[in-house]
Amino acid sequence: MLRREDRGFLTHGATYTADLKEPNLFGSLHATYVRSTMAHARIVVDTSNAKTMPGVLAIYTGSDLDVSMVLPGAIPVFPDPMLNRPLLANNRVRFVGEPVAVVLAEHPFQGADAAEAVLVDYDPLPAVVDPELALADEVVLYEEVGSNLAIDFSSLDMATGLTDIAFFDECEIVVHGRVAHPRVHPAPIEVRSAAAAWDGDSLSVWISNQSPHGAKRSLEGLYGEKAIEGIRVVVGDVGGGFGSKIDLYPEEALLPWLASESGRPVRWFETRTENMVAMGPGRGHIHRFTIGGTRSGNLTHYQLDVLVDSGAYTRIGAFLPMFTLSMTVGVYEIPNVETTARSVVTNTTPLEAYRGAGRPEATLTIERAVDLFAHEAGMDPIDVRRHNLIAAETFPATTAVGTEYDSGDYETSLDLALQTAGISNLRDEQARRRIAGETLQLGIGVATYVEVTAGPAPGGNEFGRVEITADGRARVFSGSLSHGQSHRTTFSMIAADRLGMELSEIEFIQGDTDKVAGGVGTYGSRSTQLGGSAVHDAAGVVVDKALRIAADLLEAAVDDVMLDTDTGQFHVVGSPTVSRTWAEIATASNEGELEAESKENRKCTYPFGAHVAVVEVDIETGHVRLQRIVTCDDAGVIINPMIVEGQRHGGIAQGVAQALMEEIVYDCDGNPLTTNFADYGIISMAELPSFELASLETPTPNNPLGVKGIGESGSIGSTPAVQSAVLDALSPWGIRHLDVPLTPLKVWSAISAAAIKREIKLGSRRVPIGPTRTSCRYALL
Amino acid sequence: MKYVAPSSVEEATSVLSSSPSAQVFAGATDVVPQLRAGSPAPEVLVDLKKIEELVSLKSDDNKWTVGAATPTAYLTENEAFSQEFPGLSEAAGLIGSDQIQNRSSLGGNLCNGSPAADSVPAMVVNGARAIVAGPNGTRVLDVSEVVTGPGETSLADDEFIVEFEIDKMPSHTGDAYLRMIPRTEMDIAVVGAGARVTLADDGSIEQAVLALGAVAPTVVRIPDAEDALLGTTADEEALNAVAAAASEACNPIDDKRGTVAYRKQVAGVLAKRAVLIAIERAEQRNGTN
Amino acid sequence: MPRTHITTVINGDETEFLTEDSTSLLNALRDEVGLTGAKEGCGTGDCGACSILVDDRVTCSCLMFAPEADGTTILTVEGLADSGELHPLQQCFLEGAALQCGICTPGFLMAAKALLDKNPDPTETEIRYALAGNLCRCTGYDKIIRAVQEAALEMRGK
Repeated sequence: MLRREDRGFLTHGATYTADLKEPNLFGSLHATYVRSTMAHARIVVDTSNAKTMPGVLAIYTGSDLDVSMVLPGAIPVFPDPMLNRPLLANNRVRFVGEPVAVVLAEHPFQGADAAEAVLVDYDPLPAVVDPELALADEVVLYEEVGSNLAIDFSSLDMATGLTDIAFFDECEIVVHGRVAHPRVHPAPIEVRSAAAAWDGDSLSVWISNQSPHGAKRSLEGLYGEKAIEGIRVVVGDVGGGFGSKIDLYPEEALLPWLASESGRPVRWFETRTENMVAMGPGRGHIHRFTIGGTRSGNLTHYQLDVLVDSGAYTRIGAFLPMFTLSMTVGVYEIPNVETTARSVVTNTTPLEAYRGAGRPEATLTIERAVDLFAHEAGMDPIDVRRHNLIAAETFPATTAVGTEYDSGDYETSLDLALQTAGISNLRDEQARRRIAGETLQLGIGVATYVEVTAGPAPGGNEFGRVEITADGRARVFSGSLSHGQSHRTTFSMIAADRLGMELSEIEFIQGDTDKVAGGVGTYGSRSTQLGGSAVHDAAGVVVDKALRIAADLLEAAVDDVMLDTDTGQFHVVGSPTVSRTWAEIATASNEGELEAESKENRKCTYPFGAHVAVVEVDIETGHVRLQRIVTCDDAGVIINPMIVEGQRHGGIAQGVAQALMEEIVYDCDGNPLTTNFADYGIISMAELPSFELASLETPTPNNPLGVKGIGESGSIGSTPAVQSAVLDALSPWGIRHLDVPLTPLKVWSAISAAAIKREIKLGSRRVPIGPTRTSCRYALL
Repeated sequence: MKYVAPSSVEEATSVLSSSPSAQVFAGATDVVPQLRAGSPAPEVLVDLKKIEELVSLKSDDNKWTVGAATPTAYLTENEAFSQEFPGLSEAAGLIGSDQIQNRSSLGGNLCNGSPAADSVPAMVVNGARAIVAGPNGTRVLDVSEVVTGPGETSLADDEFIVEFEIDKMPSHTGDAYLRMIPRTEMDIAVVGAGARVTLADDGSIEQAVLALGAVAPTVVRIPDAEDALLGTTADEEALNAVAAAASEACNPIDDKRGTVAYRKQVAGVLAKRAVLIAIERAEQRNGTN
Repeated sequence: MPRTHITTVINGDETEFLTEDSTSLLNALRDEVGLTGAKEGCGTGDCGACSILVDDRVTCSCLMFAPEADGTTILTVEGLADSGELHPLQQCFLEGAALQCGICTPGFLMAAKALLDKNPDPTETEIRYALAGNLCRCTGYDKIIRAVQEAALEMRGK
């Protein structure tokens, strides 16, 4: 089944927000933001010179805005000043890249010139970049709060709190460590872009965003009183989101105000460097874990301590431990578990969601813990995994942290991945290279995972609507929003299947709040299971209504009439020769009769799988080459295999990138050092092998389609698999743990240091993992 | 900024002499990112690609002549050049993507003054000369004399490189260039190592030239490594001496791409590996080709 | 500021436009000519989303000054299909689902065309290096490589 959305992409590059030739935007002004170049300072902004520059209509600063002009926080559990971001910084900046002023100019280049001429006088304050240091409160971002601690999840009853080491008294083996999950950038190739126009008292906003209705709700908070005729949000083609475009950003939220002040439409798009410093990154966790069990390999006890670097304001990222905590134990049956989680503010870009959003962190930590436990137990890490997997016959299974996994067959997914990889041949080749002392050493890593989609628990809903047109075709509306996931294809397939229509008879509508009555959006791998199920159910209701009309037309009892979904014909059961078409049914129907909506709540689902990575490490330079990545990702029933493969591929690539290359780096003063694609090199095809995918489909009972989410699986399993593979290659040097990304520099440094450390015999039964910092590691020369 | 595209060397030098803030460019693959990153804009941008000599690649019995603004893709696509100077061709081919290759040039790569420029160590080991035009005619500089520090050259403001001359590769001689980057493609060298080796009839090394990039403010030669190879067959002892001399010759910086210790280590490894490749190529180049 | 008059052939049609000298060819194509198929992903030549062919050579249009285009022949994604009939690369991208969000696709198509014009039968490794200057965040590249291989096969058969 070909993707239905592709022709425009291939022939003219589709229509992203910056490409819009929308008549309502004729005569637009262009907004250019002036951004803080310091991480923490009191500021005074002088726009007098810049205002006189060519093409400049106006320049506004934070003092021009009403104090109520704040971007409301998405999750209202944080102290107010951290939660509600000012649209323009007022007197105080808290991260490099924070908008301090905005220029309205006729042309973007005039705006850029004027932005450079805006004078910002900085009175520097000490900056805190490292979340562990932020906990000490020596530098406080919000004096009125008095502490950098944004939230302790124990206070929300989302974490149990930790007791002490006595928790592990009955364990024969106890291993503890610290695992960092550095910040990575979602780096959609389309940067952020938006536009706003007023027509009297109605407001239209075009935006590159994952959640049109979410954006509308946020805008209503700011402009609802003025826009008495209503707010319309239009999302056209979106050039990637990966979680970073769920939230609304201040730069976008201010555009309607600018359009109102100037009386003209206003457009905005950013540069890549602005995107790198001002769009929300992901991950940014530091975990400490302790795992305990028996010498025979039974995992019995686990403690997890999560610390999140929220950045300067508490956006979505600050709350993502909810997912980490719920997935603490992964695929393992570990009876005794304690957790804690805290989010702190730092002088860095506010954290948002990034593919996986809290689950990759849970997975990577438990997978590291299991590898280290296996090493201490002298067992093969694959055997330890297999021994502790939640058994297929126990589903639905509730874990020690209270999460109810719907369905699964973890051992089969592990077996399939291992078989596809040919694990014993790989071990032979690894042994050969070790004995021969070759420069290119082989490493093999295995990771298993389970994640939650359509979360957080208990689940959620999405809007779907199906209506039959007068000529017997169908219109399908969804509140979900494809930004690469091919909803037009998948959702049309679901509707066509249910209605017995050709795909060409389905019109699909998304991304316009005037056309789609409600919705949530696309994130958290929720689209097909919630949005697709809503379309499925709405289509089912329409079919039921059509059957009643068909019964009248066929002069039969409704229970005797059926829709043959192969032919799209209604007929009496057993008498297909006398039939009615959708067009005939439509003609016979009353206006508005053949339509239905669905917005039912459905429970989360729990996709799972196993990844095997094979790497070559050049022990003289530390360079790692990923040779193979084999995955078995089970996301329940698959509707379009080609699209699902694509989702897996993309996730794998991002997970590999996180394992080997990508990391946002700040210096000690909070200056970002990774501000373009030269300094933050996102993974290219030259770094990747072909992917080897094994298939497994274990349906979920939690929705009528039996589907689970697939958008994030690839990025959850691949990072720990690759990390484990590199560490496996380094195991002859006694190297047990290195944090991602495993750059050549880090790998070589570890090998080099190991040559010295090997002299020291470690007798402890615990394996301490030395601290590494996510900042202050490098000085700029 | 005003754009001009002179059609002759004379016209270009006169533009440069009359506009103090004029800047020459070839492919602009460094100039544009620098302008976008906030470098001060020149009043006049002088596009050198409309001058015939600057975009040409030709050889005679004695030498190759490469126009300074010639896209590096022309070098990598030229079979005769690439067979004769595989190391230089590969180095030129490492400057960015195919998109960049169609714009980047040896002149731009050199005069941008980056210590990490990939083609420079490979030009240096091959003894390339730069023909520099100025208001008073032309002068000749060794490529190693052009860059004086990061972003700094010995050229006057009204001078630019017209072309490079590289003597034909002698028989029993081969060159190689290797670089270390954190990524696989599209990245800036953490270390670059160029080598050129000439073998005597008995297979021992008669002549060796080694140069490193990205480990000092400018490209550095490694005389101690060159000496250590002479008369040897690049046995383990000689290669260890090469590595040690290469590490020793480094005067690198610490940055997020590499620490001093790492750059020194990798310089040694790449110098060894480049020598071995150069020897293999020298062995294949007997007197007839 | 005086604007410079540029004459080019774009997608087969002689095209004239006015531009500031400092404008990138990418912005001139998008704002002056109205062709928005080429995208700005980075503005520094690192992502390839703005790739076009200039005199048959693939180039990042964000790194070219618009006046440099005077007298050249340009092909953008809008000119790739032949009066409605998809180019084999477009057809194979379509059939192989070699795109997701699509923002990188025009650049990939142009770079892949340049590759196949030069090398009609590239190996997977050659493709991986030749197209490494085009970044895609969605696909993991796997299906893009398959599509380029399929298109190469089809174009060789013609």
